[in-house]
Amino acid sequence: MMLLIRELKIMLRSPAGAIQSLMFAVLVIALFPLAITPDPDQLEPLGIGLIWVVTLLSCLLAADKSLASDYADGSLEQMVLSDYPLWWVCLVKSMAHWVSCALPLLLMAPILGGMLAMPLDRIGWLMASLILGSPILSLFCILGAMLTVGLNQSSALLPILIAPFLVPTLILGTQWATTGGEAFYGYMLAALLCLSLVTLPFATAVVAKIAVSR
Amino acid sequence: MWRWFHQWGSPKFFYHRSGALIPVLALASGLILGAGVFWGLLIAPADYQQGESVRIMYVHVPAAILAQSSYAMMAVMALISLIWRLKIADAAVQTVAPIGACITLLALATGSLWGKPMWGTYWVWDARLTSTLILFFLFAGVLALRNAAGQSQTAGRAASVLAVIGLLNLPIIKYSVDWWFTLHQPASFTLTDRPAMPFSMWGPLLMMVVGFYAWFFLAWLIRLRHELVKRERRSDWVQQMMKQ
Repeated sequence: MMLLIRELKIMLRSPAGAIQSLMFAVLVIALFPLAITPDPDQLEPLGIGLIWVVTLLSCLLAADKSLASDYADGSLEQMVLSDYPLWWVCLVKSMAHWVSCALPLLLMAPILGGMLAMPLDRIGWLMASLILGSPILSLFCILGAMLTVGLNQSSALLPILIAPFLVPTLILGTQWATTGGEAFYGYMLAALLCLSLVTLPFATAVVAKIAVSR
Repeated sequence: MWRWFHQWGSPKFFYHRSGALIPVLALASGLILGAGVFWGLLIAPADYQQGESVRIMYVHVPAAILAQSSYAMMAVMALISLIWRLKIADAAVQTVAPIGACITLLALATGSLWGKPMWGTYWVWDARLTSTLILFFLFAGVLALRNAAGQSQTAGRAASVLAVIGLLNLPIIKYSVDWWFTLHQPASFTLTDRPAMPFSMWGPLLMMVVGFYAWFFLAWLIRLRHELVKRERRSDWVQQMMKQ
């Protein structure tokens, strides 16, 4: 629990990262009407897909930074050596990533949807699908961050590693929202969330041990 | 069984024993591939519907089969290297990844060349094509992580974890891509719903599949032996071998 409070405190004291990833998402969404067309009839069908892709991208972008400072000042190593179960540390990291990156986007979704001329009920389904789907994104992003932390590589490496794994989430999430809540996709998305929650923190823990031994 | 496992896990033992396999595999892949190409491209009949372009199948189908199974083999090797810390399994993961990526690319390229005369377009977002494309990205991820992390042992273990997670995710990816298409709208084209093939067509196809596998193991073995010598260059047996 202390760990979670620590993460949240760090976030509150330097909210720049969260704000920047939010700005990134809003900006990219604003670019689409400029590049494609301002016509609401043509924008509306693209809305759910565009907002999902932008969410995915800004999660991937923010993942790089979520472990970098902890790795640089040695706190990651301390966490691995500490009494906390390592899977819990990884889960907390994912939660912090979700709160700082996905949650602001989720709250902004009505505005983003409005920018793309989406009607209210579609925005509702979009938010529902993001609520179920975005924690999976965060879990995978932390796995990717753990795989690449301390590698001193280009920031494109993490998206290359992790994006293929996010395809099922993207498909199920967007399908659930565009079909207006067809139960099958919702159940599958929920199942994927449960599966990710109980497996990915443990996989990340294995990778964390490798990361600190580098 | 365990003794056998340990013996073949030692780079020295493996290097010395596996050398005899190279000519066998080279001969097998050369003969089978040659015969398969001759049979498939020159003798086998053209399809009544697809015409001559059906012959792309003799390259495309073996490549597609091999692409998936080479990922599975890589992940199994990765699991072995994570659990038993066998050096040779780690070298095997490293050396099979580029081959697998190339095979997947070959499957994609031949598929799109086949798609042009058949479907009138080089690419459709069909479920199979999409999951093969994702498979290629998974290979690319393992390769990229390898390159980024350098030659250290931890680099190998990180790439191995990624490969294993990829294998566990492959069915999820495959099914989600299938549902994306099949529930959304019925698949317009599938490669499986061809009329049942006569022997004159599946005979050469089977031959090509076997030939591709033989070639694959040959390429893997050569790369693996080279990698082992490189990694063990400071050990006695390599030094001795180099002196001779």
